[in-house]
Amino acid sequence: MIAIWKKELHQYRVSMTGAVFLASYGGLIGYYFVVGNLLAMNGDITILFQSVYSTLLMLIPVLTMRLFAEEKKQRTDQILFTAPVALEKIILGKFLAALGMFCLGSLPLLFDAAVLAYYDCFRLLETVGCMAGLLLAGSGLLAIGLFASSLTESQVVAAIVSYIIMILLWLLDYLKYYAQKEVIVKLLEYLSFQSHFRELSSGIFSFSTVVYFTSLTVLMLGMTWLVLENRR
Amino acid sequence: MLSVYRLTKRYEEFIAIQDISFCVKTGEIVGLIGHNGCGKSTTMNIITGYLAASEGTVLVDGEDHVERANSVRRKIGYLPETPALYPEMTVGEQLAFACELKGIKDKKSEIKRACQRADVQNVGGRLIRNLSKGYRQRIGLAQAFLGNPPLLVLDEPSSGLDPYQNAEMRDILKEASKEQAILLSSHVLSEVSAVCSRVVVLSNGRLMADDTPGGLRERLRRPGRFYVIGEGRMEEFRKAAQKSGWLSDIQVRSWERPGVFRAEFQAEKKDAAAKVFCILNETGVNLLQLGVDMPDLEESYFCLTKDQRHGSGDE
Repeated sequence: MIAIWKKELHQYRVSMTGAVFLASYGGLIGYYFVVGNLLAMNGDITILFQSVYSTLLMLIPVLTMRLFAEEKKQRTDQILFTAPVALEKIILGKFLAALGMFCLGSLPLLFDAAVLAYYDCFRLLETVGCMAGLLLAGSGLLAIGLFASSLTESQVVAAIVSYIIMILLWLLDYLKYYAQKEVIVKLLEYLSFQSHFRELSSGIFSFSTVVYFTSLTVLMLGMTWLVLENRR
Repeated sequence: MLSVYRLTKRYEEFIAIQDISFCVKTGEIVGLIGHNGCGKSTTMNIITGYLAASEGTVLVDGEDHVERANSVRRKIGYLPETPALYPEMTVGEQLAFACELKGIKDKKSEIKRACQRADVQNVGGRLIRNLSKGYRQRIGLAQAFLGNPPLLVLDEPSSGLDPYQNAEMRDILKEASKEQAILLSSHVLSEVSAVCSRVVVLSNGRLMADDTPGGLRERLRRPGRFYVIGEGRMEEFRKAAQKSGWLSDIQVRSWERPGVFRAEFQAEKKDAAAKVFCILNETGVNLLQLGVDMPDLEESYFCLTKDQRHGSGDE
């Protein structure tokens, strides 16, 4: 697993994908911070996180689209799947590498928090909650991207499938206005990203949100395993 | 070392391979031959664990490839049809990654040893995307050598190599076969004939033959069939042979250089050879060679797979 993790990080480093992700994610975090906090003279870090969540939907597929699709296209999956390494370790190695890149890209948020602390606007628990929430939500989205990448050998198709799944989960929230039964309204609210993103970006770290994103991550990684195992 | 028993792979309605059984012993090079889409790569992919079999068993060194998958995979060095190499890595990085995947501890010396065997010591620092096809093939082979696995599975190892590289590859394989069992597939029958001690012929996913190259040729030899290579008047020889009544099914054609011909015939009677000498003498033809007519591997292959070369194109 470590070998695959290291190999993926190496590929992020030498390919354009890693650089594009880090540059655009870092650039957008900087932009949101300057406009939303510094220029607006607002010390509330949750404003920054609210903007970051919608950015994730756009950028995460850039990180994940290559992971399995390119291996299949170049036939390099043959070295992975014939090596004495369990399939779940291959999946985890790739997932953790993408998560590592995501964490690296999120580091500017710590700098932003430090700047707010300098201006005496730092609230520790709220910031920690927001960061942990971001990690949790990022894991779920990365797992969706990894699953999409396992379905095809085209990176573009993988990215489009990721966007479709993410947008569907985002738009579920709007369906609740048409639902007749209270149970369905609650279910749609729970399944949608929006309510959970709202909570996390406010620094609220509820048990149901933790369960939601953890389940999403495990489910998507499990489905990736099924897709790859069935392909054999 | 490798025992394949009644291997079958189905994709819903389509049967890629059916009831394939053969074995490879240490010190043997076994060639898997067959037309495109006959199931060579499918068979190799199942042996290496890349694909799962629908039915059948693969034992490597006595271990089942499903029950003890990781242990079996450690014992196999695999060179796929397209070498599984990452173009953005250097050769050293690629081999180090392969070592880590295989759980090899002493990476440095293992890479050095594999590079020596595949004769690629001088390209360690180069990016794989900048290497020629022949070199990529050899890097793939070095990758298969890592960990010195007792079984090598090589899918068309000579594909894309020039004649010099081909000869070198043959030497490398012969050297490797001293301590390893090798299963290779190839379209080049002359190469299979030169390197392999045994040949497994597949056609439309079924096993047509499993024999030594000599055995295959012998199997298709027609008793009493001889050939003559002579220098002189070809047409006169043909007429005299037909007139003799001792020889039948006579086929005469020009051979290698002007004035030289090869005649193949069926000898009807016991002392036909003596009659052939008489005919040669009568027609003033110089005898260059006389022998028993044996089909070569290519002819044997065509005979075995005749009327079967209509696969689905799936490998």
